Amino acid sequence: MIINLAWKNIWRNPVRSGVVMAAVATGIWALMFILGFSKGMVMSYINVSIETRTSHIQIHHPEFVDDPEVVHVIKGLDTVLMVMKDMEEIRLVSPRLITYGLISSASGGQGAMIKGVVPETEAQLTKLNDKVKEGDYLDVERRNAIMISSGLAKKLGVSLHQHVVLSFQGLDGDIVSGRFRISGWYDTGNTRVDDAIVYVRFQDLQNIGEMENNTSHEIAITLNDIDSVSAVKEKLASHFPFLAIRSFEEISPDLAMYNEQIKTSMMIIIVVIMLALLFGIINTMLMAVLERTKELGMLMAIGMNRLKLFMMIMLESILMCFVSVPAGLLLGHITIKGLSVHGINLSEWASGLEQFGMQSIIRPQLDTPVYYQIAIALVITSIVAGIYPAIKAMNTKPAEALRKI
Amino acid sequence: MTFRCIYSLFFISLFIVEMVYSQSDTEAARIIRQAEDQVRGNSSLGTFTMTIERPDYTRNISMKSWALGDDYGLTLITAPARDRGTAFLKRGREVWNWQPSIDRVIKMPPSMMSQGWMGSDLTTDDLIRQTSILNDYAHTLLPEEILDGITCHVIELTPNEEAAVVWGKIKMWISKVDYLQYKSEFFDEDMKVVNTILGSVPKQVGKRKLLTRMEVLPSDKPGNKTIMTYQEIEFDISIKEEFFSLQNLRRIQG
Amino acid sequence: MRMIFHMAFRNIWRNRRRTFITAASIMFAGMLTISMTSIQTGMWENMLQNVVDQSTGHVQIQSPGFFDEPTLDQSFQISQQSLDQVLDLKKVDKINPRLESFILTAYEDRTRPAIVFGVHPEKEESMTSLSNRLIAGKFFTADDQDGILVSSGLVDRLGLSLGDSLVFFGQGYRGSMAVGMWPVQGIITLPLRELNNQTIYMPIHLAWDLFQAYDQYTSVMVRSTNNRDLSSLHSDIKNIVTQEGLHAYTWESLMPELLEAKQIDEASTLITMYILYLVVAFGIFGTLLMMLNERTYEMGVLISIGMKRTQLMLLMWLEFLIMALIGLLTGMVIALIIVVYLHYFPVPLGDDMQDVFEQFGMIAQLTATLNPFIFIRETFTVSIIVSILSLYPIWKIYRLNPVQAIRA
Repeated sequence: MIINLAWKNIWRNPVRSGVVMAAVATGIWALMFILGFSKGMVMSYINVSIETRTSHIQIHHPEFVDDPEVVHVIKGLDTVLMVMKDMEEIRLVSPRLITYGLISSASGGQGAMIKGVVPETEAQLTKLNDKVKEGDYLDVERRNAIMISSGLAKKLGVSLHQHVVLSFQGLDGDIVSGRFRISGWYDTGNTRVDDAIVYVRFQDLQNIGEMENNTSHEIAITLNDIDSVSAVKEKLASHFPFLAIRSFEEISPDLAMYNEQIKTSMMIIIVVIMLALLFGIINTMLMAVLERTKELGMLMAIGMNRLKLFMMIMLESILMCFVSVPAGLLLGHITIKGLSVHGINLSEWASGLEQFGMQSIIRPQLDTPVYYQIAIALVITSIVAGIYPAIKAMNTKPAEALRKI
Repeated sequence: MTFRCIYSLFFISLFIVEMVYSQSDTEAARIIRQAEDQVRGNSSLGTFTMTIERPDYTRNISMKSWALGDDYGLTLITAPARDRGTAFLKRGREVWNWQPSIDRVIKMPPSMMSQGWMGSDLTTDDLIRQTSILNDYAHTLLPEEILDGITCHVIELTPNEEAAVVWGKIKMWISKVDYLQYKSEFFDEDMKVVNTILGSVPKQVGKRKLLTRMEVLPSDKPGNKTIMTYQEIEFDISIKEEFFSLQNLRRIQG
Repeated sequence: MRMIFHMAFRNIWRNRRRTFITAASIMFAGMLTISMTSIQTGMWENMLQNVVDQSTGHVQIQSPGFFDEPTLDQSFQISQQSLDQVLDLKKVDKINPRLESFILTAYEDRTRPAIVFGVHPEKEESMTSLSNRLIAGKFFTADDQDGILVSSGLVDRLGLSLGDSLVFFGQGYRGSMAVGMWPVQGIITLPLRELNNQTIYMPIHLAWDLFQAYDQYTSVMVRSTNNRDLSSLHSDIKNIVTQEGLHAYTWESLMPELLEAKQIDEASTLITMYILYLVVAFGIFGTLLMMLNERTYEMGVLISIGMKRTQLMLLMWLEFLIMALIGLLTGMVIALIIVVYLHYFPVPLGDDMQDVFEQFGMIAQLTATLNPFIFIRETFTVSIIVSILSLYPIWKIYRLNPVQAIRA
């Protein structure tokens, strides 16, 4: 009966209730938008990092991590790859040779990280072939192909299809060099990093560096599901106790940092918006109670007890949320789904987003639990908001109330 | 010829070129071989000065150098006072550096190879880069030219695909009379000159004739110049491979 | 006119509860927007201060060629007079001249590249608090004859221990040879792994000896007393150092990616703020609506007894304005308390986050900036919202039908 009464009360003054409900719905919608947008931004950053830099898991010789010397290789590469082939969580695997050396042209030399990659697996794993801005990927039909960034090319004064010489320390400490032909420019968007890395083929680097067969410096792994990273990591660690096996968060702590930072500011935003809603509801409900002093006095005079009166006001506050929360969630959901199709293009007002390791198109997204969290938070907010006005209502003195105009 | 020519000055293994006279020797290759024969010696000892000119300063370095064949060289710095006693040992493609002030021998890593050797316009890499003028390039004879009154063969060298060479091409001016290499130009792959080496001051040393002054001029840095001059040089001295050891690097004194 | 003022104050005083509720809704709006912006800005400034102190300074003096070619040959001498002039600028807190260069370090048979920072120990300490990073050995002083501090990553890579002699080998100033050997006096841990794997600090006179670069610096970091309005500081410093043929850069031009990150963050904060404005506007509007509903009868009576609608409009508008003023002022005071508290007593964000932040040399804490401009700007924004909302009662009165109003 009280529910009925509360429900009717809400609709007796549609403008007032409408404002409260609109405020709540708008608040939820806005909150979802911010959360979805931020999540999209974080995911964009993490995805770009995983794709271009860290993969899900990387394997190294334990000393290579801090001391990337050419001698610190993973031995028995074939065995390692074989073991991984049998693990169904693993989607792609790509071995790499990595050495630091000198890339020189007629006009000078630059220190660079030389990455020897298998063109086929690398194309699948890091989509390196998509990063080719001009010219060809490494899978051209000739020996000693190299991809460098156009920035590095400018420093070296070389153009497409011209040559550079790579010199680096071979396994026995001797310096070896080879002449490479530039097959294309690559560009991951992060010029500073791109200018310091050159890509050649695994086989070519192995030949020129006289490196042992069946070894590599790095194995990059992507999984079918990002959530199985720690499980796979443990499995690999038990197979290869003498290798350093690291997840993307260990490789790149800035990912965790970024995640945490966004979480903090999201928390602040949620709290602030909930507070704003809370005060909005309290104020409106309080007004509503005061406005109806006479009516409440009447209800008490005809025998409604204080507890029921308290419950009635609480229910009004809660019921309004029951109407507005689903509406807000639905609105938010539609907005996020709609925006995630085409994404929000930020390139116009944040030109350097890619420098920062993000895509300029952000696709908002929101995990399902967030919907429940918002709903629960709002129910709590509405209950808290209802308490003070309800107490006020409960304390109405019927005799005085009836005397008022 | 090429920077190895200069390196030879430091390490004095003057142009030990593959002595495989093949049937298919072209006229151009024959001229180069002749020019190399002119300055080639199996072993040598010389004293040099290197002058590094920059827009805002000039530095002089004096040194003494021993060399044996293509692979061994030892250079001792004799001036300025601060660097006196510093020595470099080259064995194949590796270079060690002896520093008397700290009593240590240090092996030069590849990352340092791109820096100018002793601050000059030549990188260490230029000096030890092992490419063969004869085997790593294709040679074309161009019409002869007159350079400062000297009639010269002009030869263009284009690198073979496999050779670890940074140049787009090299052009050399070799005098017709005495086969001295008066000028070399080094091009990038856009065929722009990036470095010029000018030889001058021919002198008779024993039965050989040599150019005793060389200037290196990088095109992209106007006002920069490195000049090598040698005071004395002696060929075919008696010196063994053991001389070019790490122990001797520490012991060597003027 | 005076009568209307009088009535407005009377009405406000008469129904204090209503006044309180309306004012409170505006107070919350002011308080939330001010604190929120101050916190967001404060967190950024905190991080920025950290990065700027550790890496570039707010403004940095360099030779003109150093930006494109950061080598020793682009180092410079600067007169004590110019340094004093810079220090005398009102907004300059402290300066830290450094000589920075790449070099090779060797121990036994291992050789690794490293960055050497030649610093004045006491200046470096006062700007970057370097001694906090010392994990073993002794910190250096200006007089130390061999006070080398090596980062722990480099120590591991070289297999060094405290007291071992580290060999330096590379190119010095103007093509001279940089050679030296000193025992490791202290080991430091630096935040970023990349830095920790290759950094060495030494007193400036040792660096001068090593690189043959006597009295030379590659940069002078200038720390400002605050990080707002750097452009005037920048041009002041520029004026001083231009006479010596030097350049001055702001951190923005030296770390464009950080500036970019800041702008992205500011943009997303702005979106958040708009949404917050929307929510508080709803809150205020709801209260306003209630107030008008409650008073429809009263307004109907006033019009019936001959009050002009314009007078009534003015009355209601004045009342709302006074309530808004009360609300805004109290909102500002409460925000000021929150902001001052967070500014002087930052709230730590927990150990988990501290672990993550530590890798970047930062402290995970909730803090706020004390910037009067934020107070003014946010108050102004809320005032605009209130002004727009105050049009509603005017419209409402314009449409009011006194007969219906009295009957309702």
